[in-house]
Formats: sequence, structure tokens, C-alpha cells
Amino acid sequence: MKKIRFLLIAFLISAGAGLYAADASVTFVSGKVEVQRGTKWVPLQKGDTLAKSDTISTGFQSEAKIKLMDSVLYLGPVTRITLEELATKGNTDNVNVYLKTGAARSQVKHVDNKRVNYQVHTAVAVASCRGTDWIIDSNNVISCLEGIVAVSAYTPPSNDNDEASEDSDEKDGKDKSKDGEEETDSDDEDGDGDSEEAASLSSDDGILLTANYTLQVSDDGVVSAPVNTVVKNANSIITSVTTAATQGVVNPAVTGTPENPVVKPPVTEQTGTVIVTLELN
Amino acid sequence: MKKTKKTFIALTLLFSFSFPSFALSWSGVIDNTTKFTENHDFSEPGLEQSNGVYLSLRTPLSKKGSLVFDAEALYKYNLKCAFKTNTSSFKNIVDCDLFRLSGLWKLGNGTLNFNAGRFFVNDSNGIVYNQISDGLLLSYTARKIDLKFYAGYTGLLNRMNVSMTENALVSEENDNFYRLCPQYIPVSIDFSYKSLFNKHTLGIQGEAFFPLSEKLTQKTYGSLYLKGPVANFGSYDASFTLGVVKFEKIMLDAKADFNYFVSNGMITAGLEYLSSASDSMLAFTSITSRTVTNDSLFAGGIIPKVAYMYAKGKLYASVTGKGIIAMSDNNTKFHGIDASGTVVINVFSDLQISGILDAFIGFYEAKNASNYAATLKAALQF
Repeated sequence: MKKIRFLLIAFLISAGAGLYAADASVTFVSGKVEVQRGTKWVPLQKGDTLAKSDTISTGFQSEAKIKLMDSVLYLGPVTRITLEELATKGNTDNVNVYLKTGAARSQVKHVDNKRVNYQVHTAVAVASCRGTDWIIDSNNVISCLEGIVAVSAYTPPSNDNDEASEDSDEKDGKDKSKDGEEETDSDDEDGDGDSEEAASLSSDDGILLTANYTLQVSDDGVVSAPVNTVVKNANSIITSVTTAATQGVVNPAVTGTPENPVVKPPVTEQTGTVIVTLELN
Repeated sequence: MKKTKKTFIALTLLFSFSFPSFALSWSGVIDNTTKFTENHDFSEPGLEQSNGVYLSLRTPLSKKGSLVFDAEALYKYNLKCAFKTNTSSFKNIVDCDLFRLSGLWKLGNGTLNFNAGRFFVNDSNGIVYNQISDGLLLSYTARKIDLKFYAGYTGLLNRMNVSMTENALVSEENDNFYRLCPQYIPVSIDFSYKSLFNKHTLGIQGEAFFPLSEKLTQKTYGSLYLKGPVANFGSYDASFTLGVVKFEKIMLDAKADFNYFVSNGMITAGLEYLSSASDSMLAFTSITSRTVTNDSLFAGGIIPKVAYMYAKGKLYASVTGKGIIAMSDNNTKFHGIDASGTVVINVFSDLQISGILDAFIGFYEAKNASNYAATLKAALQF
């Protein structure tokens, strides 16, 4: 009996040591930045700590920078996120952020002997990346600034009992399928010099998005082909005012035939969830 | 009479009951285009003025929004003035340039897209058929492949609003409001594999245009295209198109562009070859009218191109320079330089102003074909 009790205590101690909650800290605040505590919104200041389930909101012309373990999350104006997961298990950091609205930029650093699973939700996509600097917004547009991001459609977890997700009803309504959401450590299929950074990514994780490229996930879970960020900017400027008949047609003005009409990508409903998964070794 | 009335009422009720449970959105665009033109010695100034109004509506027909109907109608006028001869022409244009039922469904690991009605159709390499068209488009998009099938009819389109190469077979002198386009049945199939070496796209496309008029000729095109990124600093886009007219003579178009990305901009270098008329080949012509160059004498040859494009915030600007090397009857000559510059500014999210300068400077026998144009455009969306 004593032996069993000893083993049980030893097991609990070891399990407790292996999985513990980690904190996040606010390192920069500009303008109105608040955290939801219960039903109240409390202003955030530099140095404040955040924990799992906290919802953070920025106002107009406001910004914030949050240190999430070894990663840094920049929040743009009019942005709301929820820290759904913030824990360390063994030598793996798990960060799961739900982006409800606005835009967030994530910078994830390589840390020796450490693995990081980093997730950001909207409703329809999943992206996995490693040692990467990227921006995601609530229109499901993901722009990679450095490293590699793998993006695919998002399927919510089947045991969806996360109390932090106040918008789970929104997610449930989506018919989503995700190919290769699972983290894999298979070899890089890239073959163009990114193999070191993409060591834990393969095309099975989704469409690989390299630096200076942008893509969008539609509400139907369709991941668009990556477009160079400059080309995408040019398209969005040129096609900001256009007729309905020319919406959705590839803009030739930035593909070498400026004599053709300029057009605009199709207007999509701007709701949804994107998950970005990062792995750090 | 009673039966007609009943049918009308029934249709009206059916139509009105099919929409109200879903959101109906509408929008519109008012645009202005003012173009000043000049000839080689600046002795024939001209003015082209166009104003248009576009009204569109869109309504989902299913709760999930996977089935959508959208339509757009337009009115615009084109005024052309030649000051030297003191002549002008004024044409009204009315058109329905969008009338589409579209659907999107998950199918396996991809999505099936269905479009039926009148809508803009473009081929993958942008060379042969890029215009509004009546027909049915089925496309399947998955992560690694794209498959498209299109079949349609061009004979009901308004040639005053849809620029097809063979519109020129009919005199446009008396055109007003709505005139029908040449009658073709376009059929195309396009397959592309998007994961060649993981990030590159290799595609093959076949397009056939069956004429329904004796004035027209059957044309068939086959294209092979390859595009993708070059590391993180560039991209390339190459295509080869072989056209066959009546299964007798062939025509060729081969083009390649390389893009190098710089801060907020892109430098492009490219080369395009279009076959010219000879014993064995025809001058390359597409179905949709395509302005490869402002050289009115150009009928095949090589066009090297350099371009720079800048895009940041609300400003887009580009400059393009093309050399025109004409090749005909085994004779290769440098014809001239085609240059253009474009600036687009989004003053507000719904107001855009743009300016375009075009110049073709011809040499040798093309000297008199030189022409210059300055265009000012404005568009307001509501």
C-alpha cells in the first residue's frame, strides 16, 4: 500500500514538473490597451503579466508588444486576441493565440534544445512555421517576413471545451477541413535552400509561405497561392476601386500586360479563424 | 392574356420569395477617362472622353453563401474628337457585363467552383482569351492541382464593350448602344500542377474556338506555362503558345518574364516573341484583342521589355520600356521604342485617380507611326 502511495506521489510530482503554466509579459504599450478580467476591462501597462485565457484588446491608434515565453507578439490597432494556451511541457513551449479581429505580428526565436508550438486562430486556416516573423490579420491574410510559414485550412479541436474561446459558436458553424494540420518532422521538400529553416515542415503541413510572400485563406478554407507581398500590395492599390464584373480576375498590370483591365480580388466575408503553428528547436 | 398575366405574377412572386431571406447587397462605380492623343509630329491633336456608371447587385442564394447570384449593368459614352479635321464621334454603350450564378463546394481535398452566365473569363497565361463571355466554367482547386473547363458563346456580347480581335471585320461606324460580337463557341480546358519542386506551377491549356459564321475561321491554341518563385528575391513566368488556324497554318507566341523584388518594388525583365506572316506561319493573333505595343505597324517579332513597379500605401507607380524588333519576310528591323508610365493614387478607399503616359517612338519607316498619349482617369465607388 505504501509502495502504491509512493508511486502515485512520485508520478504526480513528475507530471507536475513536466507541465506548468507559463506567463506572458507586456513589454510595450501605446494608446489604449486593455485586458479582460471577469466582466471588466483593465488597462494594461508595461511590465504587466498575462496568463492563459486572458483577452487583450487594443483601441484606435494603439499598439502593444507582448513577450510570450521566447516569442514576441505585436498587436496592431483595433485588435483583440485571447491567449488560449500558454504552457511549457518538458522542453516544448505551447502558445495558442486566438485572433478575433485586427492584425498581429509574431516573431519567434530559435532557442537551443527547445521546441515551440505556436498557434493563432481565426476560423478557417492553420499555418505552421519555424523561426519565423510573420503577420496575420482577421481577414485571414498571412504575410511572411522571415523564415517559412506553412498555411492550411483550420479544423477546430474535436474536444472543443476551451473556456477562453468566447466565439466558439462562430467556429462551429464553419465547414472546415485541414490537410496536414498535424505537426510533422518530415524532411523538407523545398529544395531551394530553405531546408534548414523548414526542417520540421513539409508541404503536408500546408502551403509553404516564404519570406516576402503573402496568401489568404478564404472562409471556405481554400488557401490561395502565395503572392509576393509587393505584387499583392500593387494589386490591392490598383484594384481598390473597380467594377463588379472585373472583380476576381488576375490583375495583369503587375504581371506584365498593363494594357489589360485592372481588377480586384473577390470580396470575401471577413470572419474566421486562422491558426499559425510554430515549431522551434 | 390571362395565362401570361398569371405566369408573370408567379415568376415575380418566385423571384421575390427566393431572395428576401438572404442579404442583398449592391454597389456602383462612376468613372471618368480623359485621353489626349498626338501623332508623330504633334500636328493632329485628339481627345477621347469617356464617362460611365456601373451598378451591381449581389445576393447569396443559400444560407451558407455557397451559391451566389451577382449582376452588373453599365452605361457609358465614348466621345472622340479630332481637332485638326474638326470632326467628332459620339457613341453610347449599354451592357450587362455580369450576370452570374456561382457556387463553391468542398470536394475531397479541394473545392469545386461553378460559374454560369455572363462573367469575365481569363486563360492562365493571359494571351488568347481574356474577356467577358457567356458560358459555363467548372473549376476544381486543390492544394497541388487546378483543373478548369469552360464552354461558352460570344455571339450575344456587346462588341462596343468587349474587345475581340475580329470585331474589326465589321465596320464600327454605325455602332451605338449594343452591337453583337463575332459568333464563336469557345471551349477550353486547363490543367496545372502547382507543386512542381514544391513551389512551381506547370500548366497545360487547350483552347478551341468554333466559328458560327462563314466570315470567321476556326482557331485552336495549345499552351504550356511554367511559373514560380526564384528563391526569396524573385519570380519567373514563362509560356509557349502554339495556335493553329483551320488546321492549316500555325502561329506562335513565346514569352518569359523575370521579376526581381526590391524594397516596395519590383523590376521586371522580359522577352516576347510573336510569329509574323511568312510562308509557313501566320502573324500571331489572339481571340481577345491584345495591345502588345502601340506600334500600329507591328505584325510579329521580338519585344524585349524592362519595367519597374513601385507599390506602397496608397501609391502605385510603374514605368515600362519595350523595344520593338519587327520580323517579317526574313527581314529583322528595329522598329522603335514603346514607353509608358502609370501612377495610381487611392485618395480615399473609394476614390482612385490615375494618370498614364504612353509614347511610341518609331524609327526608320515606322517614324510616322510614332504616337503619344496622356490619360487621366478617376473612379468613385459607392
